Amino acid sequence: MKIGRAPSKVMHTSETIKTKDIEVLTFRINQSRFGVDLDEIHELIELDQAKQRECKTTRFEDEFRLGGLKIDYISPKVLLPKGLVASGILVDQVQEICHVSIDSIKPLPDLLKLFCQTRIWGTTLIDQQIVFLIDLQ
Amino acid sequence: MLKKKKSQEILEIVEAKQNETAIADVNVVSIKLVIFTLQNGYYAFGRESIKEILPTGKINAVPGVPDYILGVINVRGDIESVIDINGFLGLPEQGAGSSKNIIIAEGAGVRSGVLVNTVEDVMDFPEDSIQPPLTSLNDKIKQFVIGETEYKGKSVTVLNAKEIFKNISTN
Repeated sequence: MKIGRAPSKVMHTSETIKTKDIEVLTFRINQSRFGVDLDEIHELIELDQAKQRECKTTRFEDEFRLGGLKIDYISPKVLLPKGLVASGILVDQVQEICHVSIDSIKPLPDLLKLFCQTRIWGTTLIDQQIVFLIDLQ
Repeated sequence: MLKKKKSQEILEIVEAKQNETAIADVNVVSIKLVIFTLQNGYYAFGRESIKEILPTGKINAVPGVPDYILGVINVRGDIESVIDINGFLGLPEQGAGSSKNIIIAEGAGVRSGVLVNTVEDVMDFPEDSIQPPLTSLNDKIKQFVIGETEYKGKSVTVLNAKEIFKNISTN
């Protein structure tokens, strides 16, 4: 499934920040909820499609170096980041695409900034649930 | 002469008592402590380290962080981390089920929630009532202890929030 919009022109940073919303694809890993900016995603495909395309797929816990965390995937899908379409990241329980206001995005708490080498860059609340925002690259 | 109203007399008595206390306080330096329990033991942080006391709510786990970082909570739209300090004090890890409060504390430039069993009281203690920590205390734990005092007949270990957060942020 191709995600989102027609290719857009390259936006300068100041123009990007002027947009008040970003669109975020959310998914669940174990009990935690994650979100990725749609601008980072090329495509979301099924696992067997990834195999057919001989796409290198990395498990979420390996890609984000979650040290020993074991994920029992329930309904896995493969996220293909923009610019890296030959390799994807395995995610679980893909949920929805949400409009997230930049004003609602919070940086990680102090302590987590020290430890999150895992490219978790912020948090937001969606339906009163905490969603961790991640960088795919 | 008009008889004083009863309420006026009562207020004068109350004011006189407050003035007695105030005079006593000038001569005694006191420290305000927030007293809480962990694993049936009594502990305290200095009031200046405490930003807020909350009931325990849903703690959202964060993958890939040390075990003592239990996760994050939503506090009126802001996201705060929550830690379990039992390990720093040589206590067994506590389950969130036995905990009723989260203390939001700040120290060494770090702010975080600390999961505790219960918050018992906030009160002033004369500074000289806080005794140095026991010499028999393990060195690893002693670095986090300011001293010992007493509350309702129970021994209270006064902790140094700044040192605990400093230890977390530098290790």
